[in-house]
Amino acid sequence: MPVGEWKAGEGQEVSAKPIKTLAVTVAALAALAAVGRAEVIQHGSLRISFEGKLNPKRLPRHGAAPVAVSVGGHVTTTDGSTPPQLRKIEIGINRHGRFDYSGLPACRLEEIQPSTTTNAMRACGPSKVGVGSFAANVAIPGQTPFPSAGKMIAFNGVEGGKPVIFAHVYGTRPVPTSFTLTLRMQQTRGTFGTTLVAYLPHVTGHAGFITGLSLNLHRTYRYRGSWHSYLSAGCPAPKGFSGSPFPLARASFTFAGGRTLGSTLVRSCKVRG
Amino acid sequence: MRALKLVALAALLAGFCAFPSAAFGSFGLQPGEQGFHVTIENQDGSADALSGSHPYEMHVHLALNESGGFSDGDLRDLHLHLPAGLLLTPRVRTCTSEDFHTPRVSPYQESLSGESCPNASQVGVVAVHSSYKGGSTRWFGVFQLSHPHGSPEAIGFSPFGIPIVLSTHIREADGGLDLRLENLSQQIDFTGFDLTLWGTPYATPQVEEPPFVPPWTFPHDNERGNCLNEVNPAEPFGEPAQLVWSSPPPEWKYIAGTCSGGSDPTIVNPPSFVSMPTSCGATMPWQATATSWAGESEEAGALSEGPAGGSIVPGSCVEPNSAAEVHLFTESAAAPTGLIFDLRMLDGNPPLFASGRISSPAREASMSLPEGISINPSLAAGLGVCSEADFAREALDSHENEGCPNRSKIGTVSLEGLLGLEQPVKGSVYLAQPYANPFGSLVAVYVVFRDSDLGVFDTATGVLEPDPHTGRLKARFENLPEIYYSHFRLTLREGQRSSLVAPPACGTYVGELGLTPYSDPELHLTDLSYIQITEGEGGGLCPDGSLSPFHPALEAGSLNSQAGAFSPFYLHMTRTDSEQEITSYSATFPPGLLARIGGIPYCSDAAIEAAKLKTGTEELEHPSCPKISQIGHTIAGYGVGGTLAYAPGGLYLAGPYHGSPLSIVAVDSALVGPFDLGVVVVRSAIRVDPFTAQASIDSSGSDPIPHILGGIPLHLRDIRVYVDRQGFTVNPTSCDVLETHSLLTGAGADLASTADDPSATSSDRYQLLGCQDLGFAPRFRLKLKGGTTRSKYPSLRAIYEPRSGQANVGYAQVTLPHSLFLAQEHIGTVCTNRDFAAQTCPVNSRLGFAKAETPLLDEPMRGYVYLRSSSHVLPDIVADLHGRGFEVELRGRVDAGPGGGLRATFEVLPDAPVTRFTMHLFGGKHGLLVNSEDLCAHPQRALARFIAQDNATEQLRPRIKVKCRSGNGKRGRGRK
Repeated sequence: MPVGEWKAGEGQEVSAKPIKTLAVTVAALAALAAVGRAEVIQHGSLRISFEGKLNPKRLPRHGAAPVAVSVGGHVTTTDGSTPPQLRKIEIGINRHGRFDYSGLPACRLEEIQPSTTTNAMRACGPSKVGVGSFAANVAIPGQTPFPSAGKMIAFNGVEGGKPVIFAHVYGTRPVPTSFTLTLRMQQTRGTFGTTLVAYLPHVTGHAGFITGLSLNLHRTYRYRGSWHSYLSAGCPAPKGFSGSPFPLARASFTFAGGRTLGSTLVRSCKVRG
Repeated sequence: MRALKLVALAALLAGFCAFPSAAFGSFGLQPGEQGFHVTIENQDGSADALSGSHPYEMHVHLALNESGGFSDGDLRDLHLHLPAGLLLTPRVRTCTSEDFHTPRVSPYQESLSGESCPNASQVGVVAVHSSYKGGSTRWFGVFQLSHPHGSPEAIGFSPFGIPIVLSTHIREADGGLDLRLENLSQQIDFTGFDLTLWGTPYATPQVEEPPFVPPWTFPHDNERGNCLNEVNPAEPFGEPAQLVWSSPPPEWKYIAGTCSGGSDPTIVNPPSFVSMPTSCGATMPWQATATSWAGESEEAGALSEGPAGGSIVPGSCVEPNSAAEVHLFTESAAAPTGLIFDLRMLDGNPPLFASGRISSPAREASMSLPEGISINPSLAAGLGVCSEADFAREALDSHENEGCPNRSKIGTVSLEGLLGLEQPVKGSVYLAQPYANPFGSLVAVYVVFRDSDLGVFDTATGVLEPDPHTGRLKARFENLPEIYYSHFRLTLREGQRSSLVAPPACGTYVGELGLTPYSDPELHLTDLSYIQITEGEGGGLCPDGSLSPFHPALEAGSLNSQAGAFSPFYLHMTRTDSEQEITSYSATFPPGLLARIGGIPYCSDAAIEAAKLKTGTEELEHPSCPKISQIGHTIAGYGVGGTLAYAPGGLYLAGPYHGSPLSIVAVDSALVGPFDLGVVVVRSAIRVDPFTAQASIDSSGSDPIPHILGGIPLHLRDIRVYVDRQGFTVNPTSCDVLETHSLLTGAGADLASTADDPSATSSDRYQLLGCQDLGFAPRFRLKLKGGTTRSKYPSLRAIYEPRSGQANVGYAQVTLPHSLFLAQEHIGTVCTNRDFAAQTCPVNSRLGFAKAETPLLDEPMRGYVYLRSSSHVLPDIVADLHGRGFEVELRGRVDAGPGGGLRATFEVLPDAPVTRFTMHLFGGKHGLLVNSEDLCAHPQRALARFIAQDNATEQLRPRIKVKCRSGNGKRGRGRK
């Protein structure tokens, strides 16, 4: 398999075609600190911090090795006002990254939504592909907005016969509730071969204003006697170079009212061996 | 005498045989002036017709028909009707009964007079014509006698030892005098008399030289006692005495006549005996009525001779010189008080002196009492009334309670110097029956003077007319005694039931007095009287007329102190006399004090309006509101002082008023004692706090309390409200220390304005007993209906059922299992507080509906359950219950329990009895709940915690009913 091609895992129940998935996101500040240097986009008073991290950084020049990808984002305003409601997130993933969900069980939305984290794990634990966190301001009309935070678990899933990532969030404050963010995968040409699209309103309601989201995708598993990694990548450095910067991801955030802000995240890798 | 009679009888019988019967006259007075004639003379012999003057002599000639020297029938009674206003005033000396019956012994001649009265008691002489003792005319002295019972005075003479008494009687009709001779002895064979009464038995000679004050002398001293020559009718009197001014040294010398009583230095300011009428131009008709022993009677009239043709000379009247004053019994502001009205005749030179002239007594007296003096409603406590019929039965000889009842007595009157008598004549003031009196007024009085010993009886009427707006009183008395008196005093009683209230502030108050004399109906004399108020209540600080204090007291409570029991409730508000009038009140009852209004119809608005137009009596006899609407009664205490007049009233349930769904109306028959002031209707809006169901009376939604009715300031001091319909008022089930609050509004300094009305808050502790006996073991059920699998939105029905007689719930918290999440995607619309208050919550904010069944209402309270904005993290879940116009709001906070389960907490629930409460939350696309797992996978249990109003707690783990498929695939209850 050439480096840079994302390959669907064998044994996928609903589709033989590799599903390339992108973690969408906005991360909490704490998460961002862990992720690393952030790209900051600002328009007017609206500011978005977008961060990503690839681990390990030493990767083979040829072929791919299992990796963990952390992405996150944080939506703020410079004047303290409530940021507009985030309606859509699009993240393009560098075409050198590879998803492999061969033999990985796929979770159905109705198995985990709604449910507690425990129940979600009980139903779709074998499909888990990552963990993260979620933060939002809930601004119910007539109420003082309050922050809401919860643990996020990413499951390998399928929706309409197509692979998706279900990012399941469960919180008990102020009341027990859960929602699941569905990250749909779209194949594109160019540097960013796969774009993950998530529509937010229908899962967060009209009152939810996402302020932060982080997701760390990483899963290795055995299938038919061999190890697989949900995410694998190589370092695309030119011959003679021990490493190279590369555009890891490109993010686009669309807010209520149609305003869209975008940014490209550039990271570097080193050639292993 | 008997021999003479026999001779006469024989002659009569002989004559009867010899002459026609017409030759014998019948009993009666001789015709014309021969039979009855009156002259009133001055000392110079001229006729006296000057008003109020004292003539020298008054002559009354009376002659009966006679035949052959014998009267045509024996006189038994003789009544002389003197002209109105002609007075015979008692003198300072009277002849005792012993002297009157002791024959006279004269040193000058043989006396045939049967008396030996002192000269000082002589008031005239009489020439007696009879056949007795030879049929000659003889002169005898006429003496002032001790008054007999039933007469103010009497004169008498004793010809031939036969005592003849003429008693005086005051006529009620015109105050005139009658002289009555009754049961004259037939022995004397009386044919007539010439009676001379001296106008001034003690007269001061007209002396114009010093020392101006001569000793008192007897002007008629040669006609007195032993000086009378009874033997020679042609020369009946002796030589008169003389008073001569001589010197040296210069002095008066008294030269006695034939006989003389001499001077009497102990007599000071002796009154005249005869006084002329005071009405100018009035005729002076006399009338004589003679009745024989055989029952024959004849009347004859005569006019006094004089220059005005028998009348008082027009224009000769003396203008009344009187002084009137009004006094209160107190100098304390706003204190209960009585009143004294004094009217003194100040005619100069004492009026009954020979040189003085009396003036006309007052026919009418009026008083405009100073502003601030008002009728005290306390007067009415226990007071009766005197009807016109009662008043008509009043007579000289009427017994107690035969006329006006004693209960109607509100004061006294006295007449001093009546006819110059030393003994005052007393009387009573009675309250006339309101409106059914000669004035047709609310407050009128009857005045009754009575002295059975003196035979004096007279009446007068009076009216008190309060200004309808200010209460200022104007009193008017009519038909006051027409007879002479020196001092009239009317006293309205003081004490516990004083008739009046003193002005509210210190200062000098001016009253206006008016008099109209009998002599001139057009004359209106005025005077001013001053009243001083110098101290506050009980001798305290002097109120200066600015705002009075206002600190009313409140006492309230349930008669039965058992928590949760039906019990009458009372409210008692009081103030002191020195505080402002109460113009409105509000009350906030203890939380949980509620009433069972189910099944009680309202008193209609029309009936309430009709009540306002009724009299108090009509309302009392035929209440405007139906009995079935009555929920209690009121008692209002009006007045000032130690005793109040209480008026009863009914308390009724009424419909919406001033924006409140319910009202109570106090229909008070303002029958304050005998005063029917109409009907006081005070309707108060009842408000119920939608959150706590605490009931209150809001003064802003209630009628003001009138402080003056019919011109009578009510001085409402005591308000008692008894809500005592059986099974109506129910006690709270809390034994905490609660309070009843009351906000009362005062009248301020300006009764007519509400701008300066202050408010005062009063509270009274309210605490019940027996909470430990109530118990608290409610039943609670939950049921889910609809899809049981994950992500389905089931409906939820919660049913709370307390056990009968147990404490009401005050706090409820229900935690659902983890299997139920908040379906936040369905939180689309939240009702704002503003929309909720306006009852315009969007339909989409409805989460379900609720129903509370309560014994207090006919029908359950129902309403939607909304998601409503709140100060909590999440919107509240609010049941908006409505029933019979009331609104109750059950507000629950939504959050998560310690274990993360969805939780609703109703921290404040009204202390109201319910038999069943149901809340249904929608499922499906409007469902608030969403299954996070298969509900049929295992039994679903909730956690319910209840705290009663008496703080008893109950924690339940109710199993939630879920309809699951049974194992064979059929629908069934499955695992619950």
